[in-house]
Amino acid sequence: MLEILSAVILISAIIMSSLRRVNLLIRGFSVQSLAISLVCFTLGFKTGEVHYYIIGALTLLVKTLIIPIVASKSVRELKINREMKLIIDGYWSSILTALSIATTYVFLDNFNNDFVKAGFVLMVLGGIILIGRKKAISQMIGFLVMENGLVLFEISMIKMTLIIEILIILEVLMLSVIMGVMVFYINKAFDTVNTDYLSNIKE
Amino acid sequence: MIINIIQSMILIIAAPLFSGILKRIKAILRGYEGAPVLQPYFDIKKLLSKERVISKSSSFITTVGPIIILSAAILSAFLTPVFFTAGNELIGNMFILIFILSIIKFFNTLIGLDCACTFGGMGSSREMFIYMFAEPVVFLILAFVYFETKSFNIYKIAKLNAVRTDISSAHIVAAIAFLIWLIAENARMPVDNPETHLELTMVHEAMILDISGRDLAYIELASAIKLAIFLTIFINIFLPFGMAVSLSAAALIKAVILYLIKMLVFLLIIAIVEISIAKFRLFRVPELIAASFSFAIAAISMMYFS
Repeated sequence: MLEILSAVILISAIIMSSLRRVNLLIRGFSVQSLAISLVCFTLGFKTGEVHYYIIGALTLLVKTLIIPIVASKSVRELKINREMKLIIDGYWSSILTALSIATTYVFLDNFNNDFVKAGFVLMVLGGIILIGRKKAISQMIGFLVMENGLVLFEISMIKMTLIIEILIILEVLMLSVIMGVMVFYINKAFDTVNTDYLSNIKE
Repeated sequence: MIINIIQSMILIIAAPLFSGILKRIKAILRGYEGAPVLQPYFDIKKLLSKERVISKSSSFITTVGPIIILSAAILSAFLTPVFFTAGNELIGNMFILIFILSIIKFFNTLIGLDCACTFGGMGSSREMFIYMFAEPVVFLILAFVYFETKSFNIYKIAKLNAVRTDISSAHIVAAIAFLIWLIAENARMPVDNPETHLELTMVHEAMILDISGRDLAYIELASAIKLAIFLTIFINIFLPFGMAVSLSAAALIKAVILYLIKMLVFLLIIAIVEISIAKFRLFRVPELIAASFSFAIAAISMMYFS
């Protein structure tokens, strides 16, 4: 079960790193979060600790339901819902993904835990999504993928206290709501959500 | 030994049936009746009774090409396990299998170039463009399979994976990579539309455009066998549970039934993919194959550094 879930997480991350349509990015993110919350529930069932269940329920509620709804609501306002000129295009983004996954696995050779490595991979791939796109909303998805990696990393490695975990989830929720509002206003002001145009504000 | 020959003969005879089933499933999913599942046999029978028409400007390649293609397809069918494997066969090296299957592609390309028809040349150039990106992926997948089972022999790989009970996540990721490669290599939907004869979009059909009669029957049969072989390789490497490893009647019957079920499931998956997404632009095909490359590298590093 855990193996299938970690495969789903990695597959969704690799596919997301080369997608250019924002709708599909959001859908991939919600599938990934669903898999992560199922990982939390499985670990909780195996160890019998309560805080896994709480993290799983929070992930399920916030990342699988609320954030995709907010994000797809702001996508619906856009005129162009795909990336037109990527900074790193799909082909090179996939190659970069492959190289960074291999490098991550080489560096983390000593950790005998699948989810630590998968968490690091998600952080790196979130970074690739973050720097390769121009639209504000797909940059937000990249940041959220990085955060997913953090969750995966900490449920398997460190024992963070529950307070910090809840604060992180809350912060992500606030970020996505603020981003949703901001994307709406950027779109209203500039007729696009391309972040290049933000430098026009200087004048 | 004799069972290997029998299972490969069954695979060759049943190959047009699988492509007929695939066409029928697509027709039903699109909402119309569709041709009967035995239609490919009728087509091949009709084409075999026709005489061959060869262009005056073509060379000996067009004369011998279709026979070579068919014989390469039949030879590769005899190198794959279908539902039984003992694990100690001397044949079945994966590299030989892959290179025999690329003979089919090579002669298809030569036939496309041979009679100087512009469509043929265009199709050949597109086919080679896709093939150039797709070929490294399969060697990465073979490397993964070697790290997993310490063998390049497909009979041995199938036997080792058939008795395996735990399934690693690298296995699933590599299976996805192989599936994308299979679709690209067999000219199925996101890469090439197998039904079209529109000159802007066809890749595989453009190369065999000026083949007719008996030669066309050979090529159609070869491509049906090729699809069946690729799906069989996929099933035997990545999902060989329930495969017969001993020669008892109960194990063989169970293996045949499971093989048919797996085959039908994958034909259904291909049909759903084909009717639900449009063909990619030619210059976006490398993105798809790069994703497959990325899956393969991920699988290798998960297997090797764990």
